Amino acid sequence: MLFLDELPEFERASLEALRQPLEDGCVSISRANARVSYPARFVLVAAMNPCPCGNFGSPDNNCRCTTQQIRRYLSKISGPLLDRIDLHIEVARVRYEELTDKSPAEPSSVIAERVEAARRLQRERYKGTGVFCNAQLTGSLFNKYCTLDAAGDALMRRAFAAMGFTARSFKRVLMVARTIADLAGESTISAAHVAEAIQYRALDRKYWGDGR
Amino acid sequence: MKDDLVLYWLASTDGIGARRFSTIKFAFPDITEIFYDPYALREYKVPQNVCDSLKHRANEDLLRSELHMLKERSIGFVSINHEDYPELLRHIYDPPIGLYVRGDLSCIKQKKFAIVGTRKPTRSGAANVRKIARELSESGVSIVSGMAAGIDAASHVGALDGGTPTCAVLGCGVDIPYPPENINIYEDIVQNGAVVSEYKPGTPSLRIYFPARNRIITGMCPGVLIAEGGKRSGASISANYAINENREVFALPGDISSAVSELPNSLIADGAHIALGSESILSALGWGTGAHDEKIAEPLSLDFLQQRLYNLLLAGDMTASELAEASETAPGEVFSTLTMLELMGVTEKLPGGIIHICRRQ
Repeated sequence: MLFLDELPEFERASLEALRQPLEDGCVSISRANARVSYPARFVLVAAMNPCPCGNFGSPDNNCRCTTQQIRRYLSKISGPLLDRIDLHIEVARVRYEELTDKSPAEPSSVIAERVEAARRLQRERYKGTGVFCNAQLTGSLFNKYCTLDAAGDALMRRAFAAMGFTARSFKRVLMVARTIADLAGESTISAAHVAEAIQYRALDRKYWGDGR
Repeated sequence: MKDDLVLYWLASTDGIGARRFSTIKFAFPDITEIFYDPYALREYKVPQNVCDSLKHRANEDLLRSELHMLKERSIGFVSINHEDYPELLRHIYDPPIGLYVRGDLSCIKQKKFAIVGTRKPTRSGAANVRKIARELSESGVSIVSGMAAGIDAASHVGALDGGTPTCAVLGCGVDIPYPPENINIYEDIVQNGAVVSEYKPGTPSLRIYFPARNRIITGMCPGVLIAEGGKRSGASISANYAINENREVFALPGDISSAVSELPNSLIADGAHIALGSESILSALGWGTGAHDEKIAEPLSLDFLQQRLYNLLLAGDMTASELAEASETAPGEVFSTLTMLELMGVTEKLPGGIIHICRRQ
C-alpha cells in the first residue's frame, strides 16, 4: 500500500515514474550494462486539495486562487496518471453536526467481512489462472469475465461518448463494475453496477476538463 | 485613396489611439488630407516621433500588403466608416478607429445585448447568466461580452447554445485566445459570430487594456446586464460607461451578504432595471416578450428513485452522500441513479461533488 498525501506537491517526474508500476506491476531499471525488473505490485492511495487554498468548489465560493494558480496546481497530475487511478472520490468539507454525530455507523468489521467475501469469490473464479483479483485481469480473462448485458452495454456506450473515456479508463470502469458486482455477490455485471462505477470516475472531466 | 486604408494606417500606427483620433477627426473632416501631410498633426499635440512613424508608414502599397497578410491569417479590419462597424459604437465619446475581426462581424448587426461580470461568479450567478444568454440568443439577440473566465464565458456559452451569433471583445490582439482555457469558446465564436479587438494582432493581454475593452462592449449595445461583481471591479467600470453613454442598465439581483452582489444590488438601488429573466430584458428594450419558441421538451420519464432524488434536489443542491442520507438509500444505489440522471442531462456534478439540476421537468 502506497499512500501519497498532498499529491500535487510531489515532483512531476516522480509522479510520472509511477505510471509503469501502476500498469505492469513491476519497475524496470536500465543501466549501461544491465536491465533489471523488480516486482512492484501495490495499491496506490493518494489525497489532494482541489486548489492551493483548498476551497475551490466549496458551496460558499471563498476560494482565493486565480484560475492560473488552480491550473498550475492541477497540472502536476497528468491525464495518463489520472487514467490509471480507478476510483476518484471527492470529499466535501465535514460539517459540525457530522463531527459530533454519535449515531452508530456500519462498523469496519462488517465491511471487512464483505470485502473478504468478494475476494473469496474472485479467488474461486480465477483459480488456476495465476490471477487472484479483478485488478490483475488482462486480455482474454478480462474479455471473459467483464462482459456486459445489453442494458449495461447501452449505458456504457452513452457514457463513453458523454464523458470522454479513453480505452484505458473504459477498461478500468469495467473492472470497478466487476468488483461492485462481486461485492453485491452477483455473477453478472448489471447496468446499475456500471452506473455506480462511472460515478467514481467523474473527477478528471470536472477539474481537468476545459471548463465547459 | 480610400478612407478605409487611411483609417487602417492611423489605427495600426502606435501612438494614435481613440482619444487622439477624436481630435484628428474633428480637425480634419477629410481624413485623407493628413495621409499626405502627417506633420500637420503636430499642431494637435501629436508628438514628433508619432508623426515620424506615420510619415514612414504612409505608403499605400505597404498598407495594402499588410491588410492582405492579415487576411491570409483570416483577420479582417473594419474601420469606423465601414458598414459592418456597430452603429451605436460609432457614436460613443471615444470610438475605436477600427476593429480587427476574426469571424464575421456583419452577422452581429441587429439586436445586441452586453453581459459583463466577475471572473469568479457564484454557481447560481453563472447558471442564471447562461440561461438568460441562451434565451436571449434564442430570441435572435446577439450577446456581446469579453470572453474572460466566469460570467463572460457563461454568457458566450449560453449564447452559442441559443444559436444566434455572439461577439467577444478582447483586450488583446484578436489572434490571441485569452484566457487560454477558453480556446474552445474562442473557436466556436469565430465559427458562429465574431471576435473583435481594437488592438493590433499580436498585442499581449494587459490589465490596462481591459477598461478600454469594456467601453467597446457597452458601446456596441443598447443595453447591458451587470451580472455579478464587487463595488470596485471591471464590471463597475462597464456600468459607469453604460450610464455615461446612456445605455439601459440591467442588474442581476443577488444575495445582499455576498461580495459579488454588491455592485448589481447597488445599481438596482440607484434605479437600474432588475433582470428577473430574459423576458424582462426583452420587453424593457422593446424587443417583444420572449419571442423565442419555448422549446417543448419531451417530458422526462423518471423511475421511482430518480424522481425521489430529483425532488430532493429541487429544494437545493446537495452532495451525493447528503442525497443518500436524505433519501435513506444505499450510497451505491444513489451513485448509479445519479449516473443515469447525468446521462439523461437532468443533473450535473459540480466541483465539490455537488449535484445540481440543469434541466427541469
